[in-house]
Amino acid sequence: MTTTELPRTVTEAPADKVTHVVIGQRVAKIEGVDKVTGKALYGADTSRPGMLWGKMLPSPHAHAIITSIDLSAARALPGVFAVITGADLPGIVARISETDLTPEEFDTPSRGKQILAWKKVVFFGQPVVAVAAVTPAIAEEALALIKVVYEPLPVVVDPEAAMRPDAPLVQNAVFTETFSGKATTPSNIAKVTELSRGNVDEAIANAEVTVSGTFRTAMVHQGYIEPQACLAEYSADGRFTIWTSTQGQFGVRGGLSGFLKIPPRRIRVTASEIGGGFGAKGAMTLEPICTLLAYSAGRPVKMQLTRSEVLRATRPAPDAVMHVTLGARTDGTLLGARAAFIWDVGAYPGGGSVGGINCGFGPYIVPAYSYDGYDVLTNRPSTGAYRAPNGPQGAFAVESALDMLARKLGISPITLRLRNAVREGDRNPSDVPYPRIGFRETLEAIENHPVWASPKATSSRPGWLRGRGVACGLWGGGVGTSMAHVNIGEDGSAVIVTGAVDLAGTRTTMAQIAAEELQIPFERVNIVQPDTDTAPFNNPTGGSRLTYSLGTAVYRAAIDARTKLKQRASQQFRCPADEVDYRDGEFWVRSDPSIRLTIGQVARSAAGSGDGPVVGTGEVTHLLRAPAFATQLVEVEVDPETGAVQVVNVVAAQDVGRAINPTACEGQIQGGVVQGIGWALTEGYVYDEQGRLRNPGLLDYRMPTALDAPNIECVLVEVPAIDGPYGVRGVGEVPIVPTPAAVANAVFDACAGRVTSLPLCGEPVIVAMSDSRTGVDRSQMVMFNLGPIPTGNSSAPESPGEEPKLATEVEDYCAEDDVAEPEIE
Amino acid sequence: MRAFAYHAPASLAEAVAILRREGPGGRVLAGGTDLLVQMKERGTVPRYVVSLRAVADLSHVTFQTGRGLVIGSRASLTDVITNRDVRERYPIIVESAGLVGSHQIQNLGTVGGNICNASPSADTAPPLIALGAILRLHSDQGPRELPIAEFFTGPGRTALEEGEVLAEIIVPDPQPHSGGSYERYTPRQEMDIAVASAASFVILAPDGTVSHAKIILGAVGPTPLHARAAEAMLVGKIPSGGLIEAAASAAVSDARPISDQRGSESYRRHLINVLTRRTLTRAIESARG
Amino acid sequence: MAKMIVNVEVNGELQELLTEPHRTLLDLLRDNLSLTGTKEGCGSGDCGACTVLIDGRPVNSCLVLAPEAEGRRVTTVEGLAEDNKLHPVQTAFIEEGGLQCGICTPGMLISAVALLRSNTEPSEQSIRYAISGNLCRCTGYDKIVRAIEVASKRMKANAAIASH
Repeated sequence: MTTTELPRTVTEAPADKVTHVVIGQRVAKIEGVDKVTGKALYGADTSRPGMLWGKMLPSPHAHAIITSIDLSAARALPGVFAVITGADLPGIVARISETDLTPEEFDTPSRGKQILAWKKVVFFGQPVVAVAAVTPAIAEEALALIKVVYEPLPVVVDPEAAMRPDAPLVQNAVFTETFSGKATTPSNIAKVTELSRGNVDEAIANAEVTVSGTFRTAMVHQGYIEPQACLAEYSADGRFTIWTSTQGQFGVRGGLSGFLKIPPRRIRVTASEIGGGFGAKGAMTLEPICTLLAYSAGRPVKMQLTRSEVLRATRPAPDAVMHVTLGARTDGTLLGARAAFIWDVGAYPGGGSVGGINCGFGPYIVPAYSYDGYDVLTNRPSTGAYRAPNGPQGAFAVESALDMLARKLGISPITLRLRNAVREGDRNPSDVPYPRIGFRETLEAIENHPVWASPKATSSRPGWLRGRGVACGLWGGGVGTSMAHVNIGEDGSAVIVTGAVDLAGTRTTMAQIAAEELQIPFERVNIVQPDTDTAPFNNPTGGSRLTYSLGTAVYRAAIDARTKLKQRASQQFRCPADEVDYRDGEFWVRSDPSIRLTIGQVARSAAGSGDGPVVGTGEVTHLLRAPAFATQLVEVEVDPETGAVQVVNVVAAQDVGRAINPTACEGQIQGGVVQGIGWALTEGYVYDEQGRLRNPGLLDYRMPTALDAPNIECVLVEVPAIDGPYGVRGVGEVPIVPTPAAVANAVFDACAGRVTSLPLCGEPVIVAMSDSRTGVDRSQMVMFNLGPIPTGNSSAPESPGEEPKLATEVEDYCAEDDVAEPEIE
Repeated sequence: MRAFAYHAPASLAEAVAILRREGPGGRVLAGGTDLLVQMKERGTVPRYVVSLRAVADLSHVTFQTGRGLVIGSRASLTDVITNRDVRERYPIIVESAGLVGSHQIQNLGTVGGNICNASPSADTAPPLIALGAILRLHSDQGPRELPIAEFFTGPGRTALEEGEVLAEIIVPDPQPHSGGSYERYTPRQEMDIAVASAASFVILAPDGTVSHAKIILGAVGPTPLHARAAEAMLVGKIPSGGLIEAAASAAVSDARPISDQRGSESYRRHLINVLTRRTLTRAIESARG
Repeated sequence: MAKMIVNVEVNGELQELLTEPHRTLLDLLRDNLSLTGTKEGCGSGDCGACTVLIDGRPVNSCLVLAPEAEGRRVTTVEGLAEDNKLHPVQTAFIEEGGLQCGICTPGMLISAVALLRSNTEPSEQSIRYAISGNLCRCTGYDKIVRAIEVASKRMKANAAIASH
């Protein structure tokens, strides 16, 4: 792989000198040795003496009333220590919290409350009973002895069908929420979002050219390789200790505190090494039930989801049906856009609309628009965040429509996008102005790239067709509270202490920032992320916020430590602090540079004298968002006979603001692109009419293998963000956003078939090619009449853009069903 | 996994004796790559398992002119793929066995297991049927031989009788002027399961006409299917592009696909046409040398 | 259920392990021996996170019943480094950014080591083929492929030095 890097603003140190300029260096991962030797401890890798194993009984129905549950045989099985049903939850929580609870509190349409189904099951695989036993086999045996009688109800798994007035109600107490208020009769339409500006009808009527289409994506899973795992222990002093694979241990503490109705001081959470999260582990999954089992059994309990449980009953990303109409002038200038995005959010409210709209339309100036979003309940698992939540779906619709427009106008897809690209000061669909951004720069980087400039190659495989597609993407950026300590050791080393979870490499970038600011070699910096009793508070990792926010905290903590060191040095020099200079690990008095102390000498002496040992602290709450843009060029080869598609080459340009570690940036981009390729080509939930998931395994839920992944060249564009250290922007989310659309656009370029539904590999390509030959236009299918939906005044947009609902205080968590809106780094 | 009893007999005779003694509810374990998945995921835990691991004389892959290729039922897919005789004389077996699962699966799994699991999409089945393989089955009544074409009776169902174990797969000697080819369609390049597949095997007479043709279709019926109409169309004729096209179309009418999570009925029919044409073309090319 | 003894060599050490027959080799490694470096990602042989070497060949340890390991030689990720010195593949993964979250890394390393034992100069395609049974969700595979390429070159160079 080659990487094109733009000139850096920081000069790299000459080779003959110990380098202290670590920002921008490709340093190796700080926890690398632990991970390649098997020493790193993940969610399932911790055990406790006397530990039991917990397992859950899944519902065989997608929608059914629970008539009765017979637990007698399971309870009688030797080795079984706890058996819990949904109906038991209020009683156990009341005992733990010593509060009075009404059972109704758990009888609400909230996935966070209904950790076990109660009264009715609303999706296939929903946990109904949990047991804890001395071995996994006995726990399974116990589950097999449980007799549940169900009364099946009509099932709805299609979001468009679920919107019909006569559709089966997934929840009896969900009322359509709009900007103007809540409806009074229950509905599967949980939420309606409307964003508009100007007179869109007029704009489209006056447009010289219009395109429109209906685009569909499948429900997809984040696909982390590590299933959720958790170990919980209760102690007679009333405290719970939790080891879990999570994107935020403080999020789990806050979430459990709210669920169990006990103060956070009674809960200690250790975040294990995490085997992939991508948003999904920002929400709690096993922690509440594991905690209740441990409390009920009086023994530590370990739980690990099976892969089929992960696929059936965690929180995948919503599928979407998206209607888009664009109106433009013949030069490509957009005049108006109309869109209705329908999100299948699954069986419980949450997730959904506004992010998809802002990601999809946010990159472009549209003078008049009307964007409607519908969050719709179906008998599928409740959905959650997956890398740039809902961005890839929105971008698939908008970027496909733009490709159609460019072809209709006969102009380059890059020219079309450059003509309409937002700049600093332009506003996103939620009416939030952009700060300094590097969108155009990513488009220009692709336009000037040799692959784009060279003629399209022919396929090396006889009969296969080659095509090229472009698409863009946006992620608004994540923010939130972070805090870090920097402890200076008596050998002049530094240890960063933070309570944030490193999903994929931020420990290393944090150490680079500290090394840079302390002007010490990278090798002398270490970083730890201890439990919630020990570490300073941090919001969960997500939304591409960590390098930006925690980076700021570490930056400030390192500078604080440096300032304090200077203070300690001045005590030893017996001169005012402002007369002390510091560079590259040495202090001296400005008036007499021959008197010098190393950082280690200062730290050693300070430990026992003067103001004492040095600990720098840094904290940050909310920074200005730093939106990240990406433009991707994808080359595919298509077998026109089978519809097989292989992505053979990708050039991914992304504004990273400032690449603290180019290797880490590229790794994030390449990983996001390949997830996007899976979304585009082969991944998707398949449900039967009874609402049963037909592909709950990694054989039929097809994530790309190494042979399905192409070479991915990363072009790191560096347009510094105006807040945060060194101009850095979050890197993790945006690379997945353009990929599905870019793949579909490349497929069209190869075979003239416009595929409007994902995953597209195989039959959809054959159908699209045949449609294009016969003139059938499936993209023009009319949306059915929605009927009366209570709608509100759209002039009061919701919280801006892709606002991640990161709770910043414990109280917020207690009010939430789960930990913060899950996102990913 | 829930509990079961485990036996690891040292000989085939002992294995079939255990099966007779213990009766119904047992499963024979070779590589385990299908059996363990069923035991874990579908909860279909047998009462007891008879492992062939300690049975010494079942892991062989041997070729002898006149006796053909003999694959012991405990030989791993890797043992078969890497065997020099198989590579030289039966490339279609290598082609298909190499598509089963990953390297890790191929190191554990066996051709015998792939056959006995009787999945309609099993990759090794269509080529072995096309080649006219014979299965040697053992019970405490002694051995019997059965053409593999008669072995599959439904998805996951075979002609194995209670107490019977597959001991060997015997593939006849390669014929002169013969050629075979196998192809499947999967959305992923690897680690995938056939949406549809086809194996074609032809023998050409000295005058260039097709003297023998076998076309076996996978994943488009409850068992691997013979495309008999297509086969009949070829025999006695000089192969041409037009004839191959016609045979491929005829194969579509022999397919009995269903719609499921892997593909729709109509798409599978479409694939059968493409895959039959491609494999027939390659088989004829290779038969012509 | 009756317990049984399984004799198995793990990372060069003979082990006599008490187990029930319905447990897997993966369970033996993780729960009997606390060798938690080998991971369970799917339990059905589709992800490769549990890959170990049995008698030198990579297999899914989640699909091997514990008693089937009787008399076999097993190598796990914990057995790759020798005398506190990392295997060249391990070093290359760290240096080239061939890992992110690290959950697939142990299995990926085992597959890479198995490849380089049989093919000292693998092409990019044969590397991708060799690790196609190991799913990675973080890296997009690119840097893993580079790491294995770097390791193969380094091992070849080391072998050349050793033979002089």
